[in-house]
Amino acid sequence: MKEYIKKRLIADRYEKRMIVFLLILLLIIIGIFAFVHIQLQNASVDESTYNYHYVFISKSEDSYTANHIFEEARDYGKPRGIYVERLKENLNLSYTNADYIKMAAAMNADGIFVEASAEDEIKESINDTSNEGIPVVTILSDCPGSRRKSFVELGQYNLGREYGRIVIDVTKTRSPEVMVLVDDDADSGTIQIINGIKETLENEGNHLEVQFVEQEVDGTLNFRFMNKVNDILSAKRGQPDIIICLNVRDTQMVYQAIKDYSISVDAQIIGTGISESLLKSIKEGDFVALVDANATQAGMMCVDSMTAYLKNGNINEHIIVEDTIVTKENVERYLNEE
Amino acid sequence: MRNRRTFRDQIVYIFLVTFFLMFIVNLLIFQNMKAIIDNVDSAYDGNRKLMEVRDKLDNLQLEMHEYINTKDENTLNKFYSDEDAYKELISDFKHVSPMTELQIRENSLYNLSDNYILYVNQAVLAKKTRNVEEYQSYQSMANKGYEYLTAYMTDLNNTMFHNNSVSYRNMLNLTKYTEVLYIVILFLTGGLDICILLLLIKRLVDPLRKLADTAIEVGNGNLDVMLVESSSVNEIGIVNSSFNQMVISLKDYIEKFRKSMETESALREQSIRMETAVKDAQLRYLQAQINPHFLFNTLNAGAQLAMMENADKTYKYIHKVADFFRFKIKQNDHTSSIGEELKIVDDYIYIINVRYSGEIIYNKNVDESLLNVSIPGMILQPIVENCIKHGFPEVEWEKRIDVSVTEEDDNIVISVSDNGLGIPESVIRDIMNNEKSGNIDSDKDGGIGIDNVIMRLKNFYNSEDVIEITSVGPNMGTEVALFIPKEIKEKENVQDIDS
Repeated sequence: MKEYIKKRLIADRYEKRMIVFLLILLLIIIGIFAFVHIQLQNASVDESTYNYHYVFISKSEDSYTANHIFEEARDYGKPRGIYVERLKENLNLSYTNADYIKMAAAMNADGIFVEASAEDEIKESINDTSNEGIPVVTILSDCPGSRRKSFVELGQYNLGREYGRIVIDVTKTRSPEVMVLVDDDADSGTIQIINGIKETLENEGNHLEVQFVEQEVDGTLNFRFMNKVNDILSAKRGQPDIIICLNVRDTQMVYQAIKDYSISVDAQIIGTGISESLLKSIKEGDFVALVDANATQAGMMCVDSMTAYLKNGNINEHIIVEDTIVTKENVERYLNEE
Repeated sequence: MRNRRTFRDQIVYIFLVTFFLMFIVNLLIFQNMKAIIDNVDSAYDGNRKLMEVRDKLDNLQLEMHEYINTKDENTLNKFYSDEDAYKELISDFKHVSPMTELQIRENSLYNLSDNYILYVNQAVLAKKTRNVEEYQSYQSMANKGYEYLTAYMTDLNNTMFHNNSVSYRNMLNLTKYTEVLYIVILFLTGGLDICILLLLIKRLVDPLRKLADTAIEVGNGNLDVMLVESSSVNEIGIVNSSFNQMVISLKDYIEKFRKSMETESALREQSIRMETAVKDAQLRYLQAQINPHFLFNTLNAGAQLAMMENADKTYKYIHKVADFFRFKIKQNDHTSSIGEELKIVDDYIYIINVRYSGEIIYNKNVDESLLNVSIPGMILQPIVENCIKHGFPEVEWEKRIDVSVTEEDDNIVISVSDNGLGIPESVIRDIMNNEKSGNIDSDKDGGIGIDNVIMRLKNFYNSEDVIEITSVGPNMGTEVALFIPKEIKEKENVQDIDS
């Protein structure tokens, strides 16, 4: 009898083990199928869905600031169901921004961001589009008198004031020579920045005897620019105490000249544009500060203001974006973000 | 839950389970592979569709210009036909929110097309109505719309191509390693199938195995086995119930058989007991008929009568006869001493000599110290009797019998010799080999045969070398020598001392 029960128990155990093994095999098979199914779905491109379609039009595709703002707006809009399309990016057409506004209107976009100007053609396009019920928000530069709904301004004048304040902070002498590199094709934004610098130095830096020099540089040929920088920074006498770069291109050229010519920099350089290499240059002491508009905030404000208008019908007509100042004190935070 | 499926059904069930498992897995693999292939195939569908739209758009643009330039009715008809075809094609690009990035762009394309179609139609209509200013204006707007549309279409096409290329590459990669995974799945499913097969077959075979085990137990004679439980009512269940019924019947039958055997045995015992009682009664009856006491009393009475009549010889004779028979009755199959054996030989010779007028000369040469040695009873008298019976008939010369009891080495030798006719060698061999010999067998006349003597001696001393018969030749007499091991004698002496 005992033998019989023992045999039964062994048989039951065998059966249980077999069932467990069977279930494991089944789970593995289901797992593989599920895995393949997921992989199959992942193999297709991003399938995020959107409820709004905004078009972003800038003057130049090479504009560091515009690129930066577009990327921020696109990334900010994506999780919120807003697709921001940069119209000029791949079309390779020699259209004006006015044409692109018309094109965006024909596309029946929900909203348009445009780096505008005071030209009549743009104003007309903006007005036509607005009349069709498509709101237009100008960015970086405005179209005064048009029917745009809002203007998101980086505040070039404010940017100039920040430059000026940094000069006052970092100067080691009472009568520093401040050299501002100005491209030969400088626009109104550049002039506003310079004005901001000058006024700040006159008001807040009235205890200093600042010698302000505007050094014109070739905005088209890189090697000339770099040679010029090399000449300025390598000069044994008459070196400026502080050099200010007003755009990202100039800042990067200066940085490359320092590296390429292995220049031991005595002057304090203030640049713009936040990138990993420039942030490292602050850490290494080649640059004392980077002044830039807060592109993240700008992108965010563009999207939010447009969406607010579409939902509520009202919008703040003039939005000024804050500036970002990176110095040795806070450079680590930005490096980590990068 | 009782299994009601028949054996055949269960086998079919096992086949179907494994078959369907493999079938389902293969179906899933097939569907997945088909989905992958479809995906790969359709990777560039969007581009293809876009190119078709582009072709139609170009036709439309061309036809618009042609009509405006020529105002040809056929061109107009063709234009309307192509416009319908274009609208149908472009309708696939219309989507509603929420949309994916691609759908938004396709929708934008659709809206651009819509805008373009509007201007084209206006231009054609203006041309038809010969409104030159208006058609030129709409034509210009249509041209602009065409530019927007083609530029956007090219961009969309590039984006689609890029996305589709990524998708296609992913699909191809996925196809490569899903092939490996599906091979793994097939192997795993094979394993799964085998497991299920084993499990189901085990369930099918287990009752049979249990039945076989129990049958072996029953075959080994253990009828107290646990009866086979059956969870099924199929053929196996029937066999199990039948087997259980058989075991129960077998147990009943054996119980009945045992009882019957016991009864029969009791009856047989009773019968034997009765038979024994009858035989015993018969024996007692016979014994009562030949009561030796009666015989001895009778002989004693005869002896007394002879004494009263002063017939001393008769008295002695009768007395000797009485002694002889008393001893013979008493000692047969018992032990006696050599002295007692010699005494009965003396008595026997006396009786024989009375019968044969003292013809037989009897001599004894006995070592007195050996008279108390125990030997099997009634062994000497039969030998002497054989001498007289077989050695002396028709002998004309003096008949002599010599008996000696001596010690030789480890034995006591009792020798009985005569000078009679002697025994042929072949007869001696027969006697020694315990084969019947007509001449020597003396049982038939109420005496004890030589073969009986030899057998008893051999058994008593557990030895073959206890007797020797010697006859030199015809008329040269015979000697029978008995060899009694001395060990026995010594033991007996010790016992005597102890007692």
